[in-house]
This record gives sequence, structure tokens and C-alpha cells, in this order.
Amino acid sequence: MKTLDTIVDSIREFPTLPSIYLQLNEAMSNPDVNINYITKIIENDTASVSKLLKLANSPIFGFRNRVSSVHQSIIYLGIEEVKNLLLSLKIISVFHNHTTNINLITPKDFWEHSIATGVIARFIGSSIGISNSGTLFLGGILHNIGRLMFYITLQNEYGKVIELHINEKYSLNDAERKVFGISSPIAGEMLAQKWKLPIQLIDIIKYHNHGTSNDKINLNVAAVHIADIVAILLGFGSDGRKFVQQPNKIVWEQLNLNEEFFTSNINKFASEIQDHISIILGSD
Amino acid sequence: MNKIIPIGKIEEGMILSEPILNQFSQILIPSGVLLTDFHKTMLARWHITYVSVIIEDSDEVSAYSEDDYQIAYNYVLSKLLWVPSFAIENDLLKATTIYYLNNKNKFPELKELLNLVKEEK
Repeated sequence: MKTLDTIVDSIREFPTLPSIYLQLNEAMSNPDVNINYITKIIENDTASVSKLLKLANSPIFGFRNRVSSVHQSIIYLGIEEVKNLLLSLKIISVFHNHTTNINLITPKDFWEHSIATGVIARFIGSSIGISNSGTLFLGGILHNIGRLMFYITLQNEYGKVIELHINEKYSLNDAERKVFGISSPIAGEMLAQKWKLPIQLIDIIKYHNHGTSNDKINLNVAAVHIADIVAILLGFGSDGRKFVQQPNKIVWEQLNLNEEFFTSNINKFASEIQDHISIILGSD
Repeated sequence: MNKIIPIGKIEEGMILSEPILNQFSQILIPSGVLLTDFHKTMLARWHITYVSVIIEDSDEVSAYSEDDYQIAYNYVLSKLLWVPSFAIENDLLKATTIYYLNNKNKFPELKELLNLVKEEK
């Protein structure tokens, strides 16, 4: 059985963040940077450009005019949003080819769940007036990155976790703690720190399961907490969970969603999720 | 209920729920218009990719028999290890149940359950 040390080792060996994200971060830290320079960095990544533009034209952003160039996408969406969308696309493309065969969870299942979580979190965020809904989408994409790491590095051992979950009704996190001595949100946090992700994303990765960060109100974490549960409930992909946990009561209070929020929006969620899945996981 | 759909999915007779505006906010097609293939061509020419249309409320609870709704509701409940206790949780369960009933093909177990009950009758 691999120990905590081997998990820490595998975090060290895990792929680094896509270089385009680092390049963009560096460019944006320069106060004199101009939009043409940033456009050029993005355009060099030809593989992502067409998907980026398709996402930028998704009704979720609600632009009347078609976004048809990288330059336009930066102007309409803002550089932060574009950067977050690009990182989502890159991370998925880096890890999509890693095969997993735990209890029939495929990379497609895993990413469909993550994409659905991102889309729903964005909807929740917009409905309660969170302005950085791009962080919520990326947070949804990354929330289970620790679990993905377990799938990839501890394939054989993960079967035991699933067994405990199904037979003994352990939550996946508790089962992970019992088998590996560490749960995936904590492993994810370590990876996120290695990647030097912003604190908002680290919080989402570490606390999405609780819905609060250290019992403090954190609307980003709260939105992803609910979105994760809704995505599993609606059957978009899977992260191995067979049962859905009860949302944290405090989170409902924090978010204060309209009492008909889900019945009025469920079809919108579903069609947006479907569109995002075909754009992001599609072959183009 | 309003739904945003890509223009490729427009069918003759669908009703536009929000007006189509140009960049100067002038109305190109007002809301309430019955869409035709002509509109579809024009929308494509204007590079408009999505429109908001009114979808008949076939997905409301009333569209399903009480029995079917109850079966689907219990099926959704079986995926939880808890019972909804707040209005918003009840709303989530209701929305999920309707979603399952509207997308039975995605949930073959539920489809089978509903067919079994139908046969018994």
C-alpha cells in the first residue's frame, strides 16, 4: 500500500501548469503590457483558439455580437476570464489522455462532471451577483483535481476506496482518508500550491466538500459545493460517487437562492452543460 | 418557459421570447414573433447564433401522471443518503425529478421502472 509519502512524491512528479498560463500571468504582471502582446501569446496556441472562441460565443456570456477573434474575446470577456477559460481547456487536454479504469470511471466521465460543476457554479455565482464567475467555472473544472491525481497514481488501490463507499456508505473523502491517510481535497490543495494557483482556487479545491472555508463564509466555495452536488444528481459524468451528500445547511443560508432557483433554471443548466461538454471534449 | 437555443435548432412555429437587437439596440425581430425558416436565414446572415424561445411547459409536473412523478421522485431520493429539509432542497429534488422524467433515455433504470409499472396496470 502506498503511503502518504508516495502521494507527496507523486504530487512532486505531477505535470506542471501549461506554459501558456504562466506566460499570461507573467505578461499580466507587467503594468505596461498591451492587448496585442497578450493576443499574440494566445494565438500561438492554435489548438485552443477555436474552442476558446466557441466558448466565448456561448449564451452564458450573452453577447449579441459574434466574438470572432482572440482580440475581441479579450475585449468582450476581459483578460481574466479568457485566461481562466484557457487554463480550463489546457488542463483538460493535458489530463484527458491519462487513462483510468477504476470502477468504470473514464476520463470522459470525470471531465463531464467537472465541466457540469463549473457551468452550474457560474450560474449560481451570477444569480447571487458574484462578479468573478470565471473563477467559479475554473474552480468547477479543478475542484476534484486531487481525486484525479489519486485515480492516475493509485489506480489499483482506489478500488478499495470505492468498495468502502458502496458497501459501507463511507463518503469518498472518508474512504480516501481511511485507505490512504489523506483525502483528495487535501492532496488537491498540495498540488494547487505547487502550481501556485490563486488562493480563491485553492480554497475551492480544499473546501468544496464542506462548503465553507474554516467555517468562514466563502461564496466561491459555497457555489462550487452546491454545483458539485447538483452535477452528480443530474447525472453529468461521474467522479465515482454513487450517493449524493446533503448540502451544508450554512451554505444554503449564505447563498440565499430563490426558492424556485432549480425548477426555473434546470433546463438552462442542462443545455449549457451539454454545449460546454461538446465544445471542450469535442474533437475540434 | 424560456429556453436559449442555437439557431440550428429553431423549428417553424417556435415563439421568440426575447427580441433580437442590433448593436445599437434597435429591434430587428420583436419578441412574440412566430419563427419561420426565413427568420432562420436572416439570423444566420446577421451572425446571430442563439435565440431565446418559449418552450411549451411539457416538463411541468402536470405533464406526468402522479404515479410516474412519484416513482421518479423516489428514484432520485434513492441516490441520496438524506431527506430534503429546506424549501430550496425540495426545489432541487423537484427540478431533478422533472429533469429525469424529461430525459428518461439518460436514466435507463428509471425508464425500466416506469415501464414495469405501466405493464402491471
